[in-house]
Amino acid sequence: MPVRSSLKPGLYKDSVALMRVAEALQARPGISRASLMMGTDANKAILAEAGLLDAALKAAKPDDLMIAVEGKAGALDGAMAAAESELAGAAAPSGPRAIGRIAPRSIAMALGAGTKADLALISVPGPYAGAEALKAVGAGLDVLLFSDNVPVEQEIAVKQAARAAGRLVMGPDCGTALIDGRPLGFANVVPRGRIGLVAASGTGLQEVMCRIAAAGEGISQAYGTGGRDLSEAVGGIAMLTALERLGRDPDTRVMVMISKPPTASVADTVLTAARATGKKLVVLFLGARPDLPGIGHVAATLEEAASAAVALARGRSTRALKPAPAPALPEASRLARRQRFMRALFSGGTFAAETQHILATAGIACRSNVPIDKRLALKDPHTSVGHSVIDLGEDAFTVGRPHPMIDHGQRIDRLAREARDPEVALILLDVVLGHGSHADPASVLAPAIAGAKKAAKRAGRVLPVLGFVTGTAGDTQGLDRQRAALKAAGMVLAPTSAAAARAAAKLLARR
Amino acid sequence: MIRIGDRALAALRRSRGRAEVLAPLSRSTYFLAAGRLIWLGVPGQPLHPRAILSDALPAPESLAALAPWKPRQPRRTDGLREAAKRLRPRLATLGPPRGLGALLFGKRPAFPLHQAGAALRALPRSAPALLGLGPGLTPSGDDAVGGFLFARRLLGRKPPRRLLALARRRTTRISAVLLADHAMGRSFEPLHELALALAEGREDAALAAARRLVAIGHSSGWDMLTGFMRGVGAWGR
Repeated sequence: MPVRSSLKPGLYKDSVALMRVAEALQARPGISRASLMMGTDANKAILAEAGLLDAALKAAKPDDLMIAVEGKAGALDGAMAAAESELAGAAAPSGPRAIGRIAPRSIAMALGAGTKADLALISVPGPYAGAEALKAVGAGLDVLLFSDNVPVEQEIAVKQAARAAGRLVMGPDCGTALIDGRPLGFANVVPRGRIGLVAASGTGLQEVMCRIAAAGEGISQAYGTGGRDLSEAVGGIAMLTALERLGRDPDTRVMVMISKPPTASVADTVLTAARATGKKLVVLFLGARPDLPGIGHVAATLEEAASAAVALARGRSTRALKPAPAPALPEASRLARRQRFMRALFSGGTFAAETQHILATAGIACRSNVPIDKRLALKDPHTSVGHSVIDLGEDAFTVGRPHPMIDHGQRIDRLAREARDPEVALILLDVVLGHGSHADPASVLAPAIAGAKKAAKRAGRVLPVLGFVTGTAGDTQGLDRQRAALKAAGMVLAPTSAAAARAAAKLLARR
Repeated sequence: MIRIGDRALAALRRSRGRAEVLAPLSRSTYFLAAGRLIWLGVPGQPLHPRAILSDALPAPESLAALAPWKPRQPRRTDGLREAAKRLRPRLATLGPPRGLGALLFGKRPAFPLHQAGAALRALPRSAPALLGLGPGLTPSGDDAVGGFLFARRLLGRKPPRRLLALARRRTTRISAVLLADHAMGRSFEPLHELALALAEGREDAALAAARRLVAIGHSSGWDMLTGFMRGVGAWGR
């Protein structure tokens, strides 16, 4: 078959981009083989062996990209044109390589290009994030500030400027939002509906949205505020703006507010604003269930907040909400006497807090790298002591590494280590699906769970692994497929994060 | 937060923050700053002495305040080989090997690396045959030789100057620079962490570092790991 070739002097592409182009070419009708490699002597020898090295490619130098395509004569011109086009596409920036080339380098440039944007998602190093957010607010945009390590003084200045301009700044360190049906950051595919949310917690927001979707209701808007918004210093500026927007939104029938317990004065401010909307309201101050007159429902868990919101949306009472059933752990009866402790390895920080609160209510104190009681702080987040609840999304685990919702590597290593500890009676895991998360978490977690259980079995023990999946049927990872794979690996699945914590409490209370 | 390698910071300070784009890739951009190779990667990628992990090049006025990452070297390496041998069977938990990684499990790498096994076993004598071999910007052969040279440097061997001179003619400009770094004992953070953990007998930490290493590039991490394991004598003799 004839071969057509081309040389691209000084064109650098990484392996993944070149393989993608080669695969696209080979998928074309009439093309039998395609190869794209740098013009080193070793690679020329490979092409010669494969019968793809023609006279033009023999002249290639190591910094030249060689393109060789073999196929029917009539298909070669089209394939070479496609190669040019694919390589140009592979050059389209998806990361910082955009600098100085194609993508706009500033908010002003992006808006100047005729973009009809009303929101800027900002993810730059913390010290620069405030300035960028101010530019966006100045340009009349809302802001989702993904960056962390933003000084609190900058946060206050940006949020005050935004409030004065009628704009909303979500963050800093805001990882989840759903605006007009568009997911931003880590977010699940949920139907549009009549429940609006505002939360100072990313995974908490995801879990509540998923439970609402599972109950057949939908989301109007979901705003994040960033973890510091309800502090005394910031004063809940973003929460106030978000509540006012939900109050004005004709699609929002019920509002859900999620955060850690704020100080009394901040709580008073935001609750007054919430009541002023006249809409039904569910409040979750994680770890506290204060008496709040005039509020539709005060929840204690993420699951309860979702159930209450669904009930209120349907015009029903929230007095008789039933908690989701805690699953049975059949292996519990076969635990050895020494096996006493739980190790919870979470990718979501809110789950770590909720689990500690539920266990504390059952009289079980847990150590943690994100303790709800500072006296129970783990000295070393990498070493568990007693009952330990680990948030693997904390800085100690994520500096320079992807978030554990994206990369489960560290969690898998930790799971293997905990499984070797003869005192461990239970492993508790969360699995978060949706935009931004790992494309197939069960593909990496299921073998690790099976391996951990096998290692315990070799040591003469059983090792219950309990977990829950935060996701919806619409998520690309496939909720049913993920659950089935995890179950097949031996994970006992709870229907909600709170149900998992209750099941853990039940087991641990007997140890 | 900006994370920056010591060589990248030195180059940027020398060029007063100016850099010329050499190669924009899918997840990183290579630059020349004061004639020296550096690259800008996204936060979360592994560090390297020449890497800057940030969303943008640091502003010139911020360079003075930046603290660079400099790899920590193990104090003793006498237990490296045995620790690496113990680690080898556990590498199977890292998932299907790519590139030359198949050799670690007694398998033949896929085309076009199918004949590279003999050359890897015959290192260092066969290193010239591996230079520039394989697809991508840093061909698999270079990455494996790099891992090998890194290991040998750890064990006290001098950089092979003739081989490095040959690499400047036989492989891509970027790959030749990275190969020379390896020969000087400078590489990606996970490879340093792997060496340190093995030298200190922390096998779980070594496995975790290997997991991060094999996540580099399409097959670069596996290729470096294979070369490293060969360099410390954990396989191939």
